[in-house]
Amino acid sequence: MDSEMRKANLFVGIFLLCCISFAGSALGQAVQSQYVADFGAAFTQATVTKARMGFVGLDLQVGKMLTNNVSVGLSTGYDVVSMRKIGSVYERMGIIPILAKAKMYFTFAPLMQAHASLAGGVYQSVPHLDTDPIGGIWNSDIQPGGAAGIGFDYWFLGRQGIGAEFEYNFFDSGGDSPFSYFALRLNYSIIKI
Amino acid sequence: MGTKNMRVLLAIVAIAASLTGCSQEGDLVVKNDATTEFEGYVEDQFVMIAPGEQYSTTIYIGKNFTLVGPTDIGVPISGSAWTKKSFSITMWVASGEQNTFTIDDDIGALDFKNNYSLSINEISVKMCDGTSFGSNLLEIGHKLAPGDEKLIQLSPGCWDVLVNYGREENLDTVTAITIDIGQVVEFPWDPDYVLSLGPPAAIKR
Repeated sequence: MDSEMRKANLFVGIFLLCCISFAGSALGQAVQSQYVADFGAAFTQATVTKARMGFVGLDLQVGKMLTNNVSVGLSTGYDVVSMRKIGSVYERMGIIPILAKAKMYFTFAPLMQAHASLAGGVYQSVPHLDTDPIGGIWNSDIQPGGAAGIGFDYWFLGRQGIGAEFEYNFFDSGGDSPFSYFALRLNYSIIKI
Repeated sequence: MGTKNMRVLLAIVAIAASLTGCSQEGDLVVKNDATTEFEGYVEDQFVMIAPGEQYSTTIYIGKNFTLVGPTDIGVPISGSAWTKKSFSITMWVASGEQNTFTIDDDIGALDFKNNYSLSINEISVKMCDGTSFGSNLLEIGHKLAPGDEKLIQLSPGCWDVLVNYGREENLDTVTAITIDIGQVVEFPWDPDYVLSLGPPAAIKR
């Protein structure tokens, strides 16, 4: 196991520890059998070799509440994790995650919830590169991977919420080290009965 | 600055780091300690480095966020010199450090020049204690015209050289040429020159 994978597992371990917490429900939060949709806009940054400044990601998550605190669902989006302008050309690395995601909510104040998430699935890389491979990726490819995240939601008007989350994504690059990036995301959430 | 302000500053720095990730860079120095000029590539950049000189560049490694991300990167270096065998290696460049790769001599060379009026058809060599000459060192179908030169890289030791020249395909052998590591022996060949070396350095056939 190489050092990058150990670091990735360390992150996942930290998130699992976060799951040792109390249960409860906040006023306005989604409860069992309801659906939650999260629309997110994020700053996404690759943390691999030759990665340049990150850019923007747009993501959609949909989950069903299995209990008052646990949801499972799907997540996808388009994340531009590296961007550089060379002349009139924008070199960029796009990633499309297609993930099954489990999320656990922790109520810590009225209308306020923290959450931790774990996800697994595939990542479609969409590179537009001329000079260097980023994280060893030159060509478009689909590889397995996963993500872990933490964040919080503020629920208001009964069925809507806003929140922020930090998510760390990693997947097999096909090379020596896994490809990794993080997303610092703002979410707008809707509860559907 | 008060403790509170310091905490705020640290928080801002942490947030900024999380937003951007930290760029990682390292310096790479390729130093030519060989006795002849190096020609080759450093991370796809063609370079020529004179003896005793060096080539320096800053290598961009990537983005690092806290525990995650690269802190070093492999940089391909390839090339050769007259007294350095052709090589291709990966030099690991660590962030924030000066990483030096040194090119040293590992062979010698014979700077063979055709000083005769006829073209040379073939050149082959063997160790002095060897029994037979090797294959033709000239490219297939090519001859070494009068005045042209051919670099022959040789490991250190005692060498014999066989020259096939002219339309009659005359043979000439020069023996006991000593090559040391880092040494380039000028060899302005012609039949008379060979004779001038005197026995037992040259044997005329």
